[in-house]
Order: sequence, then structure tokens, then C-alpha cells
Amino acid sequence: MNPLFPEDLLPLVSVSNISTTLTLNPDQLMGNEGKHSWNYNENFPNEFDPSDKDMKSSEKSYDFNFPIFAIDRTLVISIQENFLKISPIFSNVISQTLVQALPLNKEILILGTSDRVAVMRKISNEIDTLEPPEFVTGFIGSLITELNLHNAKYNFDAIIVPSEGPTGFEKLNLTIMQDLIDIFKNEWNYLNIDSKVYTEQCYRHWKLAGAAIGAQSGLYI
Amino acid sequence: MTSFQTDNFIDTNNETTLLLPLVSTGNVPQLSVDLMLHTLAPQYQFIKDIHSNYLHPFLGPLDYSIDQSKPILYEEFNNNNNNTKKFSSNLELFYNKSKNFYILQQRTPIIQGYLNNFFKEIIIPLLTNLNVKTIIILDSFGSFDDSFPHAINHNHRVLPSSSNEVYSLGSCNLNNINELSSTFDSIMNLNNNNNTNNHNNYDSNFGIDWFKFTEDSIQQEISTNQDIFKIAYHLINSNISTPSSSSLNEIKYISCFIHEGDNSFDAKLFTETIFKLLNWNNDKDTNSSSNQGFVLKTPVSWKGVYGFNSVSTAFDEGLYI
Repeated sequence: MNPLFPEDLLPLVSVSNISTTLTLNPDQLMGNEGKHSWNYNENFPNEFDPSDKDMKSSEKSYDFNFPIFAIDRTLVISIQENFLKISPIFSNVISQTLVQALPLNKEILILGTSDRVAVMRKISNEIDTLEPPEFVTGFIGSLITELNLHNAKYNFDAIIVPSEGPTGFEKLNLTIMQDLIDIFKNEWNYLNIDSKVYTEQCYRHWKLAGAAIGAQSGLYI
Repeated sequence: MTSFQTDNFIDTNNETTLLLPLVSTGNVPQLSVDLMLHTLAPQYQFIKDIHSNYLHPFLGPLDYSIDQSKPILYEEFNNNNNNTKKFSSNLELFYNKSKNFYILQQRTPIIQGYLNNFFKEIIIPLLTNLNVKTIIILDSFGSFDDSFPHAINHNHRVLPSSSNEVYSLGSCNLNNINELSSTFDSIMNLNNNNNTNNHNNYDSNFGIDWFKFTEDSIQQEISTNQDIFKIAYHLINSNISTPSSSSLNEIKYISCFIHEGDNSFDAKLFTETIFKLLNWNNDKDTNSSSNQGFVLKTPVSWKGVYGFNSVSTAFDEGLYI
């Protein structure tokens, strides 16, 4: 979704970072295990492996940073997912923390992809246009679930577009890109950004990001 | 089907019971729970979402069976207290008041590495809150499941030659907790010694006889690599199993052997077996006909995905990830 916000065109101001750290510390026992020790291939993350003699060396920590930008009075939070590197526990914890930090009176627009929807779905806290067996997973799924937990306290709109490929490596087809650009191209008029230039920039960034499929990707992969 | 020993395997005596499907091979337990809930939809009602950070995220529409035009499982909930449930989540609790029977539907797997957290922080507090006396755990395994076969082979047990069954029924009576604890230490020690000797995983995959299996069960003991072992471990070690009037009495384990693929028919047979075990087949207040049992209803989310229908091109996988 980042190509929808081309850095060289929109006045993006870096505001802050969402940073997350997962520390795997074998000293943190799960508690109430009594005198029993255990080892059955489930020693990640807060668990203890009695056969591990050099416990200090097994302390690991993982850091991930996600930028927060501002465009005029709009905050853009972009969470990059990667099913190979980033455990979904990050998505869950970030969305939980994020929703707690969200002011109630702000408009929330969620943009995401799912390889399990057939067409572009616009949903909100009041409208569910998903049809079984469609579903959304990943950070966006987690975020909307989190927003829903508070029983309609948060108002949000979400646009879920169909994609292909695993989490973090989604590809969009040209029609979907066109639709997304159409939604956004007139949003920037107040910043004196020409919709034509914006459209071109978006396409260019999408090609650079390698997120496009269809005619441009050619015969061979 | 052979005369499987199902008599009185589950006798809940109308005490609080919870059914939990493990996300396992072929998602058969999930599919079976789908079938159970939608078949018994008039009797079951959605109670609440159980929120957990330890499961893969999931957001979907409310599901309903093909012959209903709306999600009636959620109707009562949404009519009460101005609730507005629009989306289904990864962990939902359903309840049948007349049977005092809870069903938990888990739609996504536990995030790798958080299985212990999930059971300790989500499932056990839930069992405590609901005052559950019997927990029924559904499982499935396939021929490529390496956590399973060694449970049998370790002690060189031979399956009964007459067994044509694909199901295993095991029960663990938590009131015999002392007996269990004594076997516990020895097992754990064996396990550790083994690991320090750098044996491979096969050797650490011990069979454990906490569960009494019926004679014609395909599985006669559980292995330490199975999720059921980890669950049983936590249930035995938690306060929930300390003998008192309000504690968990029994773990029932029902597992079926399946082949990977479209498992909707496995799920159908499994559901019918579960109904038989629960003695729900001849229920007066349901839509069952006396000899045939229930006419199982598939949810709309199965359409074009599983079994009984033609396959669409848009979705070649199911509702569960």
C-alpha cells in the first residue's frame, strides 16, 4: 500500500516509529510449573529448556521498526509484514497497543489486502460486506478484530483488496491498483497535487516495489 | 463400521462440558465443529469471542448454514443487550443451555511457540470461569504425522487385529491425580536424560499412558509430541484439577485418522461418531429422524470449498489457515 503515498510527491513528514522488541529469555519461567521440568519442542519464547546448558547465550531479541508519517493532518502508519521473518504475535501486539492509543474521535481508514477475498471489499464497524468463505488475516485482520472488541466504540472504514501471494509478498493486479488510485487521486487536491501526476507516480512506485502482477510481469517469473 | 465401543464413553450427566477442537491434520476437528454447530443451530447460541494474542489473526463474516438465509447462531446474541456482532473471530464460544454444553470454535492455529501460553492463559482460565467438569478434545492425525506413530511403536504395541477403526477414544480421570503425578516424574526424567544424550527426536517421543483408551482405538497411548499431551500436562498441573466440587473431572480425547485432502467426508463421519458418543442421535427436540440420525448441515463458507459441492476457481483452500 505504500505506493499510494509516493514520498517524492506527497509532503510526507516522518513523525515517529513504532518499535517492537521480542526478547527470548530462558530465565523467565512460565511459573506454577512446580518441580517439573519439561522439554517438548515448545521452548519459544518464554519457556525454559532444561537441556540447554549455556542458557545465557540463548537469550535473543528481535527488533522491528515501523515508520509513522504525517501528511498534513493525517497520520500514515504502515506495518510491513513478512511471514518469514516476523511472527504474527507482533501483528497482534502492535494492533492491541495501537488501538489503545487511538483517540476515539478520529477517522480511521484501514487499507489492506487479503488473498481470500474475491473482489474489493469496503467494510466498516457497521457494514460487513465479506461473504463466506472470505476472510482477512494478518495485521489488518488483527487490527479490525481489535477495533471490534470494544463494541462499536471505534468508527472505522476499511478497504480490503484481493491479492496473491503470502503475507509480506502480496501482489496486486492492475485493475485493483487502478481502483485504489481512483479512490485516492482526488484526496490530495487541497495540497495542490495534480491527480494525473499522482496516478503516474503511484504506478511507478508499484512497479518499483515489485507488487504488481498482470501484463507488466511478462511471460516468465 | 464395526461395533465400536462407544457405550457410555461420554456421560456428562448434564454437568458442564466443553468441546475443544484442536487445529490438526486436515482441520477435521474444525470442520466437525462447523457441522455440529450448524446442524444444531436452533439449540446453540453464540456467547462471546475469546480474545487471544496467541492465535493467528482472523476476521470473517458471520457464517450460517446453506438452508438458512442469515446467521442464526448469532441472532440471539445480537438481539440482546444491543450487541452488534458483525464479524466472526478466531475463537468463539457457543452454548447449549438445555444440555449445559459449550462448544469452542477455533478457526486459526496457535502462533508457533505460544501453545503453552495459549492453554495456560486462555483455555484454563476459561474452563475455570465456566466451571467445566468435562472437557472433550477433538484431534486428527494423518499418516505423515510424525508425532503419532511412535506412541504406538515405542512399546511395540500391536494394534488389535480386529480393529478396522479410524477413531481413538481416550479418557483421563483427573480425580486419580496422585497416580498420575507419580508416573509424571519418571517420564520427565527419562525425557531429560534422553536429550542430554543427544538422541534424536524419535527417542524423546515417549508414549504416555495418562489416557485409558478403548480396546479398539487405533491409538493406545499419547506421545509427548502431541498437542494433547501438552494440554493434559497443563490441565493436570493447574489448580483446576485439584479435587474439589467445582473442578474439572475428566478429559475425553477423541481422535480420528485421516488422509490429507478434502476432509469434509471425514468430518461428516467424525461428527456422526461424536453425536453417537454423546448419545444425541435420538434427540426429540432436534431435526433427527429416529434411525438415520442428524441430517448434517454444511455452513455457507464451505460452498465451493469443501466436499459436497463443485469447486470454484477462486478458492481452492478453505476457511481455515
